This record gives sequence, C-alpha cells and structure tokens, in this order.
Amino acid sequence: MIEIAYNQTDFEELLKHFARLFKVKVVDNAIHLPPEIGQGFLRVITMTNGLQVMISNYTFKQDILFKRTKIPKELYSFRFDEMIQPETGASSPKSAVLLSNTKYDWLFLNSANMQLKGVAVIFGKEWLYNFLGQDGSAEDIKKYMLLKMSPFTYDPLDGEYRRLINELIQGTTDKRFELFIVYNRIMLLLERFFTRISIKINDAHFNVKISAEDITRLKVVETELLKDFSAEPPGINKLSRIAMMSPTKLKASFKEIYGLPVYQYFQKQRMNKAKAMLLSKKYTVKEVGLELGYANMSNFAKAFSKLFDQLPSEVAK
Amino acid sequence: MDIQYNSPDYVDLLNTIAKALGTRIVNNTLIIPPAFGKGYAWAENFANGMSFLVCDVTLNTTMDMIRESSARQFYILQFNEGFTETGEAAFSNDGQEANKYNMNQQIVLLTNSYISTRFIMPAGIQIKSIKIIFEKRHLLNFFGNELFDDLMSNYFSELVKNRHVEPVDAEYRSLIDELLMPKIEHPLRHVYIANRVMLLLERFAVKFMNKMQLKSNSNKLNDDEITRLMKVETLLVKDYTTAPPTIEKLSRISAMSPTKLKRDFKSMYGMPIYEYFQKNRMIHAKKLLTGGNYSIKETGIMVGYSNLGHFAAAFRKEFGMLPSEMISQELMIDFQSKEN
Repeated sequence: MIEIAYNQTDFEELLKHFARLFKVKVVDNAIHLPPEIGQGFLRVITMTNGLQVMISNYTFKQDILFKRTKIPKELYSFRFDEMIQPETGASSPKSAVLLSNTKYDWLFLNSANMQLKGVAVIFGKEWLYNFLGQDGSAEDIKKYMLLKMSPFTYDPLDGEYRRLINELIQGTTDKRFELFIVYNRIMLLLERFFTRISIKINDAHFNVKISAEDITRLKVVETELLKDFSAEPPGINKLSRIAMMSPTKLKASFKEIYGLPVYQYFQKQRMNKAKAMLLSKKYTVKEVGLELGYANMSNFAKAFSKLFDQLPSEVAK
Repeated sequence: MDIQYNSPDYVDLLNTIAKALGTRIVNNTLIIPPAFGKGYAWAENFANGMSFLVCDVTLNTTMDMIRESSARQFYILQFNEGFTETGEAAFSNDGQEANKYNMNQQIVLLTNSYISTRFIMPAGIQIKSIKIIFEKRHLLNFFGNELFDDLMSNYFSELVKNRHVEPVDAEYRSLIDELLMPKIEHPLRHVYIANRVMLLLERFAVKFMNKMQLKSNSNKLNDDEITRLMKVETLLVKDYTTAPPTIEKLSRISAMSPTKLKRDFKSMYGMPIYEYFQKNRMIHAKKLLTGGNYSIKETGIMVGYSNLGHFAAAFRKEFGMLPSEMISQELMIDFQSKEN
C-alpha cells in the first residue's frame, strides 16, 4: 500500500505534489499516471473567480491511502466520487458525495484496481454563503454546516450526480467554452447536494431554534466526549456541568444537533476511529481494541461488527 | 395597448405593465386581471445585476411592447413560444420590418439595448416566454473578450440576414419547462433559477458558435422554410406514445420533398429527423423518471416502449446508464475518521 499525506488546499499545488510522488510532469494542469503505478489522469481547472475544480479518472495498481491532514484554516472540500468495481464494472456502493472541512483529518482508501471517477471542489465559507444567498433554506443550511461539519456529511451518489460527473470527465471538444460548461456543471452538483441537505433538514425536523450560544456549548461537549476513547466517556453529570445545561436539556439538544443520543454518538465515533486505524494498516486488531478502551477483544469485535457488518480482522486484512 | 420602456430591470418593467393593466405586482409577480386576459408573469433581479422574466399569458388585446434604445449596454436573450386556443403551436410571419418581432413564434432571440425593438403580443394567443438581461461582464468570467465579441458580432450579422437564427428545440424546451411555473418552490430558489439561466446562456452560446463553424457547408434557408421546419419539429415531439410521423407525412406538411426536408431539418436542428426524435424522447423519459412520479415501466410505456428491455437499451445509449441506475439510491458505507 502507498500512503500519501497532504495538506495542500490549493489544487494546483496538490497536483504538483502528486506529480512529484508519481514522478511525472504536470502538463496543461494535468498529470497522467505512469503505467507502473496505474492509469488515468487528474486535472485541475481554476476558474477566474478563484474556484478550483479537480477532475480525475484513474485506477491504481495497488491500494492507496490518501491522508489529508488538518490545517487551522477552515475550507470546505467537496468530493463527488464514483467508484467502479473491477470485478463487475458496476458502481460501488461506496460512491458518494462527501463534504468535509479542512480543520479535520480525513482518510480515504482507494483500493487497488478500483476505478475512481471524481470531481472535487474546494472553497471557503464566504464563497459558500455567497452561493447560498438569501434563499429561504440558506440560513438552515448554514447552521447545519456549522454543526454537522465534524462528522462528515455524505450523500449517496444517484444517477443525476453520476451523469454530471461523467459529463465533466468526458470534457468538452470545444475548449473555448470549457470554463463555462465546467462552472455550470459544478453549480448543478452543488445545487443538488444542498437541496438534498435542506430536504433532510426538513425531514429530520431539524431544530434551528437552538441558540448559537447553546450550539457552541454543545460543540465543547462533543469535543470533551470524544477526547479520549481509551477511557470511560465522561458521565452525563459532568457533561451537563460543562454545557451549563440541565441533563435533560443536554440530552435533548445533543440528539437534535448530532442526530444520535450522547453515548450512541460516542460509540459511533469510537468505531469510526477504529476503522480508520485498521485501514491505515499500522496497528493490529488488538492494538486498536486497546487504544479504544476494549480489554476484551470479542467485545470489541462485536461492537465493531454491529456498526459495520464486518469484523475488525476483515478490515485489517 | 402600447408599453414603452427601456429599463434593464424586469421587476421595473412588470410594475409598468401592472400600472397599464390597473393592477399591481405582489412578490414580483403579476397576475393578469380577467378584464385583460389570463396568466402570470414574474421577475427576478439577481444580485450580480442580471434580470430575469418568466411569463405565460393570454391577452385579449394585442400588446405592443416597445423597448427604447438605452445608452447603457446590455443584452436580452429570450425564448418565446406561442400557442393557439386549441393548444397548437402558433406560427406567424411577421414580415421583414427591422427590429420588430412577433412573440408568437417558436424562437430564441438575442437583442441588444442600443437598438430600439418592438415585440408584439397578439391577442388570443398564449405566449410563453423567458427573458434574460445580461451584460458582457457576466460572461467574461467564463470566456474571454475575444470570444464574447466573436459571438455577438457573428450573431447580429446573422440576425440581419435571417430573423429566425435559432429555433426553440426540445432541449431548450426541457430547460424552459423547469422555469415556466407560476411560482418556483425550491429550497434554494435563487440558486435553482440562476443555474438554469446560466445553462440557457451556455446552450445558446455553444450551439450558435458550433453552428457558425459548420456554416460553410450548410445551406441557406429562408424565413418561410424555417417556419415550416418548425412545424415539422413541433409535430415530431408532440406525442411520444405512438410511432413518430413518417417522412412522407412530414414532407406533405412541410410542402418539401423528402430529400430537401431531411437535409434542411438537419442543418437547422443539428441532427437527422429520427435521431432528433429519439434523443428528445429519451430526454422526456429521463424527466419523467427523475421526477419520481412514474416507475420505469410506466415511463417506458409513456414514451412508447412496450418492451422494457428495448427501453432500457435505448436509455443507456443516450445517457450511458440504465433507467434503474439513474434512479438507484445506493446506501453508503460509513467510511470516515476524525482524529482528535
């Protein structure tokens, strides 16, 4: 497995970084993978308004672990990825839209021989707020983004997303209009994503009445909760003191915002961390279990498979 | 009735029209008072200075809209369609008077603000129209000065020679349909409208410039021929549930020989007659399917396929995926990490 760490937020810089690693040259803002590594391309388009787009269509010969390390600056990164399974040629269920924040680390395992067709966009909060404008749902979405950015936001990739991604990958024969065509497709992808977010918000009766102050306090609670998985999580009384809320209010508003009751959320994040550690292939199953506070490995395996339908040993393979 | 204006702002124009009709606009929307006809018009000004108007009206008095020339430079792109009371597409020959257009025509038209233009909205005809006001600066982010000037100079010199430079085809129509509603109820309404407006501009620019490149080997059509070809097109995409009209029938309707009809249709709509039919049939299918109200089977039947395997194959040929893939919503495997 090759592991690639990066923290570049400028796609042109990132492309140069990849080019150095793969020992290829950047030509017309694009690189082509050398045959010993895989095949396909990664290409960057920078719009005159500063928006950057990376379009890629590649297959690696071995597993690649992309590891984006966090930076203090807060930018939003969108990825629309369709993964094609080598055996069947069908779209993998992992194909998805992912919204993440550069304030957090992010891992992505690109399995050997899995073809990835992807479109990525990166932009700041201001750009996003400008994009959302003054529409009815804009405020709800902004609030949602503030809250939901630590667990990443996913949307499964449906046909309409796939069609737009394919149009971007195929590119245009008329280069004169390329920027215009790319820009419009990206806008449609983002429109689709945020429309679906706003529908989700409405479906979940997302309570936007929780005050900004309470939200900030809940974020402190969330950080405290996830600080150390090796020890017992803090009790509700302790969290309630930190939040300066009654236990009842804390439990209700935590669930409202993070979508799960406090300890279920803790457990889910704990297992996500386990999965990420296992995928990095740097730790044994036992090490991971211990790190996450399981003295009994079969309890760990049970908890893990409850969430992922897979045993830790299967992921570690 | 005459309406004179030169505003680059369609909300402003709606106010002027409302006043003339003795009513007022509410939420940028004008409802035609029963004394004058029926229908609606709404307008939207974008933060970047673009302006946008949608209308679907039937007036009982002919309205003459006169856009006076303005010192401020901007462009107006419009998509017009007219229908008679029986719902048939309306066509009229509006003579050759310069800068005077009958809105009762299935055309895409680009005009500019420094020449005065007249638009006639004939009584008793249902006019569906979308108008976009933009300036050069709105497109310079996407293509350079040179391309912009190239597009405009080519277009306006073509327009002098041929008043029907660009017909409304089924692809435009499917975009227009997404905007032609009394009210857009969308959680991101501005984004939704702006994106479709930009797509209309994109399609217009790309299509026109492609046509200019192919022009050397295309033949010149006169106004009358163009109107007849538009009739053929309307008939062709009217009903997908049955087999398309035969070339013989279309040739009778257009009063052209089959050979001429086939050649001229291709030069005007960019593809052979039945390819055009098939493409738009699939666009229609996709719209039904993604609208979420019809199953694959129902959709297949609604676009004239009794054999669903044939439907799926035809669909894949057009969009690169099966109808089932288009609507599938696979679940995600959680694949994320947060390291503290």
